[in-house]
Amino acid sequence: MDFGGSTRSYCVVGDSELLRPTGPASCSIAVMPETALLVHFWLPLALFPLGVALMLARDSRRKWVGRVLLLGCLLAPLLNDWDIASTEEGQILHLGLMLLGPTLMCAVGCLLALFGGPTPFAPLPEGVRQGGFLLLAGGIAWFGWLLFVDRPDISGTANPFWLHLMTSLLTLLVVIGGFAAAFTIMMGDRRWREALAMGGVAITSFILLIFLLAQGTEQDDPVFWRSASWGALGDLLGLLVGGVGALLTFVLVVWIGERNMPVPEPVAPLSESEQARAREILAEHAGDSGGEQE
Amino acid sequence: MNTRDGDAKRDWQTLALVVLTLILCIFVANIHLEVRGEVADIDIGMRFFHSAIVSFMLTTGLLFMFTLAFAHRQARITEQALGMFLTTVVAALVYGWAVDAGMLLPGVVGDVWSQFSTTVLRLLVAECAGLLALGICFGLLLALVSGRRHADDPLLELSSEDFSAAEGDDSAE
Repeated sequence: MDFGGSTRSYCVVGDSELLRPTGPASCSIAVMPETALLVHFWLPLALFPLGVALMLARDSRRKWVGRVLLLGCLLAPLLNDWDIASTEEGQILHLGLMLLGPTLMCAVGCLLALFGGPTPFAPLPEGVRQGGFLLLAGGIAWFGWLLFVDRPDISGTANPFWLHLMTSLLTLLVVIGGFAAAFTIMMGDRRWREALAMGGVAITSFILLIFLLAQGTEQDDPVFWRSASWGALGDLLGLLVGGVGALLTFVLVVWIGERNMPVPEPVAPLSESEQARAREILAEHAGDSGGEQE
Repeated sequence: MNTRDGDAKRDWQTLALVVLTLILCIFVANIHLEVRGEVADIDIGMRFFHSAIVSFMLTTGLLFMFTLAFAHRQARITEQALGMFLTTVVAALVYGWAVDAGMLLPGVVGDVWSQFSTTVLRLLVAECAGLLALGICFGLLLALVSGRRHADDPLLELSSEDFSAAEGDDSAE
């Protein structure tokens, strides 16, 4: 399928996969050995939440196990001799690395802007606040650069998940920005400036989404953007419904477990030796004053 | 702005309405542009179905792992862990049965693993986008909200009293 002005070539896999642009050399996606993918991508991905949960546990031994597990999960993909363009898993890792820079820039910018203001907790020098906003704007501009100028690709092969990410991001920015604007107006105390900023985020994202769906970018035809946006809507709604359903199931399971739990049996009274031990402890801690009160 | 009883409920209803309206706007925009007809092959219903089941499976699996990680001697978590494990297994079986029954994602190889792995990767991207959107919106909002300067609390400017006089009064009483 040739779209004329497009600088990258695309092929249609099967009869419908419009989301899979590939390089000019080949339209087939090579498959890595299954074990390598399992060991270096899927196993670390599956164990990552367990590592996080163990790190959050109170027991120090579990914390250490969690740390080692997390470190292993982060290192495992790096230890594989990836041909990144050849697998979807590799393309996901590539996309994650491409997003690391602008995401960190936005995060650090937010933190500097937050703690550079008149905050009572760990305030930073005043000038830092403006620098934080600049960093945040720089991070967003970096995303814009990736979107319109330098689309993530691997040696000429466009990363197919990029469209999915951008359409999901813009869709969610519209919803979350609109929610935040309405929230600040309704719940806040004269927060018009903040509401305006959040409304601006939502409206800008919506206009940008419409622009991409209608016009596309220099590198990607609007057909691909529309396919990605339509599919992303299904994914986001499914994510919401499935996640909320799982949480409700969890609540139901806990409720059933609690309801079926037997009433605790009455505790047996203290034996003579236990009473004597209790008196000893009381005497030790209450001391002479306790004795005087008795 | 909560000045009367029941205002909170009304406010949340309005907020829910705002979110639903925005979602509707996005759908309408997509459908309006879809009329041009090039992307009829993207089966949004099947994408929703696969995402919902896989998301359910992954979340219950996640909760099972967290249950195991936080288990301790006094906790009675057998029902919780068993419940989450069985729910995950049932979701996986249902997913496998649905794929075998021909409910496939368009454009993806028809075996269970390919369907599952593609859906998981798409969900990962969607979750990543969600975290980014939350971070940008609420990070900016928090930075703006915390920037307001208030007049100092007048209580802070009060000098401490000499309490010895008060103690003297107490003892006299």
